[in-house]
Amino acid sequence: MASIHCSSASLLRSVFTTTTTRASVLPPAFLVPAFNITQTSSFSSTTPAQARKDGNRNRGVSALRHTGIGRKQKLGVSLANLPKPVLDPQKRSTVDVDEDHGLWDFFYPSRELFPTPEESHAHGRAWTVPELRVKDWDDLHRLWWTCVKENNRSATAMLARQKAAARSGMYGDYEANARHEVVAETMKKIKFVLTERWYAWENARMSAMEDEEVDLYADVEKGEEAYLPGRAGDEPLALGTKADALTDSGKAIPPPDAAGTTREARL
Amino acid sequence: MQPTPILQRAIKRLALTTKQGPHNYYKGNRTGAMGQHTKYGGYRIAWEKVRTYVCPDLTDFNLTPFVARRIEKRRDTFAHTETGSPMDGKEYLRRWKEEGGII
Repeated sequence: MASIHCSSASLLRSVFTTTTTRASVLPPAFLVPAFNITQTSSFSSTTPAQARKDGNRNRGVSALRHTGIGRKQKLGVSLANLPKPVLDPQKRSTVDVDEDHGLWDFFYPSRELFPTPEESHAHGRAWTVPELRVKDWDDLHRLWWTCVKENNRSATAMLARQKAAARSGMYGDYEANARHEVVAETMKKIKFVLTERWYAWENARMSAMEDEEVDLYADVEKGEEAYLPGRAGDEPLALGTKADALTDSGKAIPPPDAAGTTREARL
Repeated sequence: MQPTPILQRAIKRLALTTKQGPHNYYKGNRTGAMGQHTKYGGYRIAWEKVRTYVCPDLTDFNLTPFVARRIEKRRDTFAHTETGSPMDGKEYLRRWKEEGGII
């Protein structure tokens, strides 16, 4: 019946008694990790080399491990001599800027970093082809460069806006893009007009080859006229100008006897 | 390796690459050379080849890239010309003669 009335205490009594008696010698098996038992003797019989003494004064200095600078290290700047930021805008020194500098062309006349969306939006429509047809080369050339400068300004403002807004974003890109599209359309129309003008000139040259009144090979620098009015009804002339044909008309049509001699010579 | 026939047909519509052309096919980037390679592997820039864009004098030039919206767009008619186009050569010649025929 004693076996029936057995409890955990009665069962473990023998264990506890044994542990108390052997405590000075060895801890129980489940407490072994708590005792940090390290091996004191190395497996290698050779003596360990001294820590690396290679004369590197940066040895052991690490930014990751927050070691700080080494004892032998010296920085160029001391904390006492650090410049202090000028927090008051009134006390800051002003930078001398040339008012007529060419780089001002990269900014709008207000010289703000970038215009507001309202200012960007305040523009007209693009030039049309009929409006540009009446302009001469110089005007078109200068208008083209005006467009280029406008594009430069808008690109500068776009960059400045992105820089100022960073990740939060800023309104104004939409208006700036719409403005840029108008400028691009004007530039496209300038190219169109110039292309059209070139083809018109080419067609005129082709029709001038059939026109009797136009001498395409006239040397204008020597005073020869390219436009010879009133020559349309004349019979076609040989090479040479109108003046030549009038002075020695005999050369244009060879005399009959000369023609006969050539025929004999050929025979 | 040859691409599948269907891919070959699609490739015809794309731009030629250096992998497709002959061995000496030079695609380039549509900008000319700005100098010469030296025999030491460097590059000597020829400044007479470097592009220079000269902006014309824009003082007293009042035109802007924009036209006021209140100015109505007009249309040109070329019905009086022979071909009815702005590129008519005879009309060009007629006007050239009318203005004195000066080159």
